[in-house]
Amino acid sequence: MTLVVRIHPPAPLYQGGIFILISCPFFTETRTFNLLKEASETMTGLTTQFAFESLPQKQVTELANDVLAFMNFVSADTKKGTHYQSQSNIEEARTKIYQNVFMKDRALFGCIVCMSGAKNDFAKQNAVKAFLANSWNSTTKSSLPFDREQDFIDLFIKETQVNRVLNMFVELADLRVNNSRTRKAMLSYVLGSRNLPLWSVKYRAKLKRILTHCWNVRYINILYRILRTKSTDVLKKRFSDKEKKFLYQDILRHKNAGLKDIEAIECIAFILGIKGDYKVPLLKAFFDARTDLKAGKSLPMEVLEGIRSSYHKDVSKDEVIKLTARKMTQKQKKNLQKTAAKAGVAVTFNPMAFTMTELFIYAYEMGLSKDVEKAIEVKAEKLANTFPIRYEKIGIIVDASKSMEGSKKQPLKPIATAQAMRDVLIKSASTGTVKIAGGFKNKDGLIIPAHSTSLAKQIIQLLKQDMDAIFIISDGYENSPSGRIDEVVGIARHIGVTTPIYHVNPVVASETATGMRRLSQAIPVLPCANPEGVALSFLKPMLETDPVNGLKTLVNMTLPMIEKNKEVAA
Amino acid sequence: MKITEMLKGCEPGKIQSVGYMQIVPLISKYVDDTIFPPTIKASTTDYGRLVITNDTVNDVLVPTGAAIVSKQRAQDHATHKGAFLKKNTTVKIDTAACIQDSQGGYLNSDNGYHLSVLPWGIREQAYNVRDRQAYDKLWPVLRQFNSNLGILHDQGHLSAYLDKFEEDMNQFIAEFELVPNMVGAIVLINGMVIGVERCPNYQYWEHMWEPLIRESYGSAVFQFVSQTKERKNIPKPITRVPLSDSRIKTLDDLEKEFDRVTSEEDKVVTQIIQSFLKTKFKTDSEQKVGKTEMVSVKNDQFLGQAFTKDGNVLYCSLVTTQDFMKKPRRNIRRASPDWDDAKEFSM
Repeated sequence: MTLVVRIHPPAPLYQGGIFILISCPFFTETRTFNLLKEASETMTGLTTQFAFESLPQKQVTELANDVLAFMNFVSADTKKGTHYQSQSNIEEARTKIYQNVFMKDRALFGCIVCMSGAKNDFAKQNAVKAFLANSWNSTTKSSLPFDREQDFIDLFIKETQVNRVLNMFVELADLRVNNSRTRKAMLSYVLGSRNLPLWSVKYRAKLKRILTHCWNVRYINILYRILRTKSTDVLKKRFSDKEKKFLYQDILRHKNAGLKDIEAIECIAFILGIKGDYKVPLLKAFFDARTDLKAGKSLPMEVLEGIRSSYHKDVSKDEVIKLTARKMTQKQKKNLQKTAAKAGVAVTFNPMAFTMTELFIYAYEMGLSKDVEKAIEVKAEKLANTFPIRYEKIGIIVDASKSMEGSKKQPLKPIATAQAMRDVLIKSASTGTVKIAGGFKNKDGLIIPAHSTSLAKQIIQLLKQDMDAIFIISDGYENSPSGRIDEVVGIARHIGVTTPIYHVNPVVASETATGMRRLSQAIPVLPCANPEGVALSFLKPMLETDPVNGLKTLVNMTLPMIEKNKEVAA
Repeated sequence: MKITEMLKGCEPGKIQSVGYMQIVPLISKYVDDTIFPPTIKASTTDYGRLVITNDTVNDVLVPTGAAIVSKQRAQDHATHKGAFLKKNTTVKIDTAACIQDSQGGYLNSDNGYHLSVLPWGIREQAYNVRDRQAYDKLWPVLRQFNSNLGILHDQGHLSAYLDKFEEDMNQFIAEFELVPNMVGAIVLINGMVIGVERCPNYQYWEHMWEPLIRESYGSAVFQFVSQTKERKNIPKPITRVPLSDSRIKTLDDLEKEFDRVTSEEDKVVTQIIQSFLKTKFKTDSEQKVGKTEMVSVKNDQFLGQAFTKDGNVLYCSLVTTQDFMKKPRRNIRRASPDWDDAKEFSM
């Protein structure tokens, strides 16, 4: 059996372009994770503020366990409830698991979120909220200095979708978090954006809430009065020196260099609800569309639809789709495929802009088109190349039982993730054998979850085929009967079968202390809400066997990512 | 009437087994889609008088042992008697029972409620007093039930049980899964059948899945655990046959052993179920609407209700009687090898 450990240049985990090929007759996790550790140590000279070695053994083990639970949770947590767990149960478990790490080491908290996958916006929102809502003081525990925490905040905000960042700011405002770091983050994000005119028409109410929170109601009232008096034609009116100073102090000094002063001021006037003769095209279109819908074709679809439903009730919704088809975001284009087809409008979207899981969910609704299929294949190949461990011959069992269909709020998410992960795993190996347990396939070959959970027989069959490794993609709830996998794997180990078996779990479980349901104590769990974040999961066995080095490796693997972000920003 | 008639057209699905509970799914293509789950309005005009209104355009069937649990400041009610309601009709049940012993107020039909089914351990007593007009008839048994589960406050409230065990029930329901074309289930605890459920169609069963499996039969698991927690080494259910590692030397052996225990588990459950399929029930008619009839049924082992339409049983809800549960367990013979294959003794 040949085990290839690959360290790829583009992946932040493995900078340095190391490529290691070893022959390994019996795979051991320790061997692999020693390689991971060595790789991470070579890629950065940065060190942590305090050494994990200096902590008592009990404390470091406890910290590693909390980190593991948090890793499990954050890798599969998607805000919504699951097939089994209500949203409130999940929230309760989340708070507990988050607090355990945050109170013990804020830097580790940031590192885990950083490694949880580029598309894990929910974890990033939670992390930013936690950092901003809990001021740094003398009792704060962190293995990295204060400015590193700011780097985490900057990175997370940058990587999160605009609407989610604004929602997060609104939540902070509702929680009355109003320290200087929070205000700075809000103002620089909102006013420093080149897209302020677009955001103004799209997120007007949220922006007003955020600015009111930063500047307080009295200040907003003064600003409102100044801007309203100029509102008949802002460009022609001149501001007094006193007014200019006032405006500079809190608006213009934050504004993006690509925006003119007067454009930024008009946006603020618009956000505050001042009606006027605006010159910024989008703001002008907003008001013009009230009398002539076509004048609003440059507006975002949902904004123009709002205007249509209020001022042009006799016009069909399809007209809005026609007018804004070119301006839609990729997500809107994806979500509107069915409506657009009904309206006879061709709306093409770029499938490469979405995660594999999102593409599978889309395919369930709209069918698996050639371009979506191609995008899934390309993405699977790309992600497979970032895998630290590569086996030649793998077996994959996909749990397609009823529970994999997910909750009503996120239907088909687990099975979509399972299929995405299946494709990535297949691409990561020379040969892959897939077994589907339960369910059936629709006309596009997509798995429809059904039946009970019976996976043990497939494990035996794959073990008999002498695989290099077996991956079971399952939510971890077994019922035909429960515990049979544990029995089978136990006996297989007893008779000398050493084939590594991994359990890839796309679903959180609030009822377990680790936040993840296991099929067997003998099978390590790799939590995975999306294949993009699975790299973090491979650190887990190292944390279990060697907590000190596991924690150090986690920090050292993360630092280059925030360094790179700083360089790009600079 | 026999269970073979009640389950006519059904086939057993693959057994689901978690801990001490097993479910044998009942699969059927014979369904009646004209009968809908109970999306009804419920109110009370007096304690013990439940008014159920079906203001939809479909015929609905109120299940046996239905419990109306509300967040209103009102007395929750339950009725053992299921009822069939044609579209836009109302029935008044004056034999309903209050299921909160210290709560005043009448249920208002404009407000929402949660439809539950009486816990398994209460169903028999509810059956025995189903015709008695007494609003407090279930309080003593409800207090006893809650007390046995360690509920110290609001012992006469069904809602106290639902609140206390909410998380356990969520976890419990999580373990079992609906399967395609499922219309019912035979439920076992520790290898003993405790209930048989059949519904008119898939949607109805899906609607009743949580009230029945989570809340009603779930309570039987909690009762079983609380009764046996003092005992050490509780044996695995007879329906759960372990893999015998002494027989296994290779992966081929493991596969053979896996097939053997799977087959043996199926045979054990089959044997248990076959033992009661042909026993007869005594029936009493309770409601007749057109060609439909709701009947109460009872024999030594089970009691409950069945609903027929044109002579075919579309719905039944049976629980095992306490007397039968107390009887010494008959030995279930595990499948043994075929004697024809046995070799003659030699040395």
